[in-house]
Amino acid sequence: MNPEKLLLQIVLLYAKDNTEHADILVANELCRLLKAKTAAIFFKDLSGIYHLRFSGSMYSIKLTSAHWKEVEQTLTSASCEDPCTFGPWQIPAFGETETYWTGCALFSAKSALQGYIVLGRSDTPWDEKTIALLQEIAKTIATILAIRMKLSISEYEKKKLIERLSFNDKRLRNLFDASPNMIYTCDGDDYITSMNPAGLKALGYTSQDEVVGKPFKDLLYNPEDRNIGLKRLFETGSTTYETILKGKDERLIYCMESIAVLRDENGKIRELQGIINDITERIEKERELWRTNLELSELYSKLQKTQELMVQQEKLASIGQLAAGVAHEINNPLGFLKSNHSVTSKYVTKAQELIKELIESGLSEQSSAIANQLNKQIEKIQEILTESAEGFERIIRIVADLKTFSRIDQGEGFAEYDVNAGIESTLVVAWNEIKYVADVEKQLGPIPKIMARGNELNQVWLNMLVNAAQAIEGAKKEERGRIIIKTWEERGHIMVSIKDNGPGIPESIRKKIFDPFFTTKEPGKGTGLGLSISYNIIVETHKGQIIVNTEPGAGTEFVVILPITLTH
Amino acid sequence: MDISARVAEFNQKNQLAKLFIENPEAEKWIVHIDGELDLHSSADAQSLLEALLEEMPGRSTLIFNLGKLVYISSTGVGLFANLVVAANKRRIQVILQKLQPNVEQVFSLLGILSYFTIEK
Repeated sequence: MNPEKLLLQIVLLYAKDNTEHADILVANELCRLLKAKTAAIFFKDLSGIYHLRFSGSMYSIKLTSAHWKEVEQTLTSASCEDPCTFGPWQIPAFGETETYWTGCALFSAKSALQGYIVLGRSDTPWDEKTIALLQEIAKTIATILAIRMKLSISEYEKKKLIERLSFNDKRLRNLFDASPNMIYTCDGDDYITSMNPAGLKALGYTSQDEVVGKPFKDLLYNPEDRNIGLKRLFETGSTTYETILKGKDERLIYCMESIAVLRDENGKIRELQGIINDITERIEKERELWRTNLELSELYSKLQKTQELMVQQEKLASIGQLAAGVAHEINNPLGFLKSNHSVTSKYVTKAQELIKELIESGLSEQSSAIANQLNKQIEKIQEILTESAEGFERIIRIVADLKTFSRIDQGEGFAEYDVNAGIESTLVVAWNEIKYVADVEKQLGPIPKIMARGNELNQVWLNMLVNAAQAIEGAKKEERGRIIIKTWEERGHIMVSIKDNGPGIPESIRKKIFDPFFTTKEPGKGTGLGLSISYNIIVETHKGQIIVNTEPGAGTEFVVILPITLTH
Repeated sequence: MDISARVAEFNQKNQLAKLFIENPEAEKWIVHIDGELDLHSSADAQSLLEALLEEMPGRSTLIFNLGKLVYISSTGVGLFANLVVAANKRRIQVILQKLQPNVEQVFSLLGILSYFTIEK
């Protein structure tokens, strides 16, 4: 037979059948054409499995490694370049023993593939020509086998890849569907492309269609948060940040969101992927805790302030008792001293008149000189008495202050009182103190009358106005000062503000200004009781408040708050 | 570690938040927090500011200028809540200044805005 025709025949058989059965058909054909009883192809594929395909069989057979070794040993001397003959031999475990065998390796020793082709018969030994032809046949079959094995490997890999991809897909799908966390994806423009059932449920939607295609920021309570989240994402590649989602029913969901970005090979954003954890419950608990702590802390501060106030009032009360005792004790001797002083004054005046009469009645020159001298002495006594009168006035004023402070005059009851009118009349009294140092601006608003002790409140206004004037005077500024008096009604209270543009109260003494006997005025100008008394009158008697707003260099404002509840 | 070193460490660690402290008057501190107060930076800021409170004398004032704070997490709000509680104990007044609307919104949503002294 023409060797070329035979090789062509083999190639055609392979071309017609691309399954492993083609090897068996080829073996059958070799038996027929080369007059062999048995033709067999052995090979080891890339996954290490040993195959046997031989003539007359129906299927490809897998050989055990022990059988393969047997084949290998028999054919150990065979190579592609050097076919061999041997026998008698039997294909391990299969077929019959034949006397004459010829075989040839399919692949070179260097190849990763291994295999042999053998022909066997018992009637005639193999001739040189057929052995040489077998070598050619081996080359052809080896080439086709190698290609087919590689193809089958890639087919296998493809199949495995598809399996793996489908598993991955299932795995991701399961994660997406079964996760208790919200999971969503968005396109590069941040429009939603999918959302898992947990996400839809949390937001109150029933179908993906309700959210897909919407911009993600539409789901946020504060859409600006999204820009911050995305800015972080693009800077770092992934981000976890807190945000607040708004459900379909406007319910707010506090969330911890992680976003990742998926880019294509050109760096363009393919997809944004987010996982959102609902932390509403945790935040609610924390918020309760913060609120409770803040409330407790506020109460604690109030308690501290109340305690300070109580201590201050206690101080005032004890000072008041002391003052009452002192005032009472001083008042009696002061009464007769004052009375004696005025009587003495009268007697001295009378004595001066008598001396005058004596001189006018005509005295000797010597007596006249003595009388004149006597007159001068009496004039000096007069001066001393006048000075003493000032001293008495001052003592009387101090005792009066002490008496008011200690509420000795407390017999008077509450009566209807017009705050604006009270301020007007007080201004008349205080005018002498104010007129040289400051202008007064009145902004007296429409306010109801209240039940109050008018004379006491007037004393408060007087104290504050005099203080303001003295503060402005003390600042020794070039220009005239300004005192603004304002009254208005606010939430059931009458508010009185007396504001000056004096030097303000230094921080260091701010806490002491209501303390009794505390004064910054020079001796003789103040008793240090004014504000203390005012405090008592407003806070104790009238259940009001005094607030001091002061700024060093800019001035001081006293705000008196009186409840209107005592009105008719 | 002194406060300025801690501030430097904070700014180094938290790239998205910037903090600096001024002490313009004897009893007045101004803390500027710019950028974003998230979970991590809030925790860092809290320990730093607690240390600052320790150093401040009683009855002084601590002002937060939040004009450039663009984002706050719930932990950030918690930071201020905790600080006010700590400050109250020492009679230190805490004032929050210039809150951005979205930041103020978070305080308000959490229902604790009224416990803070807020200045425009």
